[in-house]
Amino acid sequence: MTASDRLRFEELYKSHHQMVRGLLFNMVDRNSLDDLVQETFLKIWKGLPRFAFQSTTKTWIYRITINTALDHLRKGSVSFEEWNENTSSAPEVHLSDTQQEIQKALQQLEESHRAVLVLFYFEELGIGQIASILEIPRGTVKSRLFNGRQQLRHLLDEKGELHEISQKRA
Amino acid sequence: MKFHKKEHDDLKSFLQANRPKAPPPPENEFQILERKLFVSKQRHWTFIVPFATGIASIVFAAFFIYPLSSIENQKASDLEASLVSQTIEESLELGFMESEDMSDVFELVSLVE
Repeated sequence: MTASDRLRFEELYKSHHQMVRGLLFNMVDRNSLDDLVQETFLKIWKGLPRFAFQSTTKTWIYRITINTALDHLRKGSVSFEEWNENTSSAPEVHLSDTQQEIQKALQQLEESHRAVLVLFYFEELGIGQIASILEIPRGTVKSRLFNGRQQLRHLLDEKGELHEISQKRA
Repeated sequence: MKFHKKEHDDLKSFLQANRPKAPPPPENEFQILERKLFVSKQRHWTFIVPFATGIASIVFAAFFIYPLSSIENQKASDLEASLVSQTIEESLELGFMESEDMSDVFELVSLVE
């Protein structure tokens, strides 16, 4: 690794580590978080010479991150119970009750639905960008968003988390 | 359950306001990554160098040592054959060999050739 490579890598890390960590945090269990952040950056660095700039760097990094998360989830096929166990044994993270309930509800969704919801609501990306990141048609993004949103709403309703919204609407 | 636009917007703002935020990274995360990159490169080389050396040795043996040794063998057997025939000729000239020994000698020559 030359000095200029090191500098480039440091820049890349500094400008994207929060995005990568934030996305993975809502996709996988906390015990796997640090390992997957590192795995993602290693993939980004190794893939950089082949990056053809057909999409923006941000879209490309999102794609690598989400694929790393999905690969991890498919390989390990972690059930919600295991996720819950791993997360409670992980170092303490300060989240409000509502945040914890949202995260738990997300973990109960199918990975493909979770990915779309996280990218849409938390990363605030558009349908077109999500389609490009996941390399799926826009229609599929829309249907996953629709189904995922219904399931999420149902799960949050069960926990009474949406009480706040109903009150606001009234 | 069907959603209206208002409900979408409410859910969106609710989720965005309560987005679970990731904990900060370990302090030495960048250094760990750097080390991993360096080590993976080093591992790469520690694998490639012996592998390439092995392949090169096999190629060298196949193209240089084996033909050379077969040339040497050929030369040695040619020399041996010429020595034997020379010895036979000299023996015949000097009359040292009896006729009954000749069959053994010719057998020996045919074996050498």
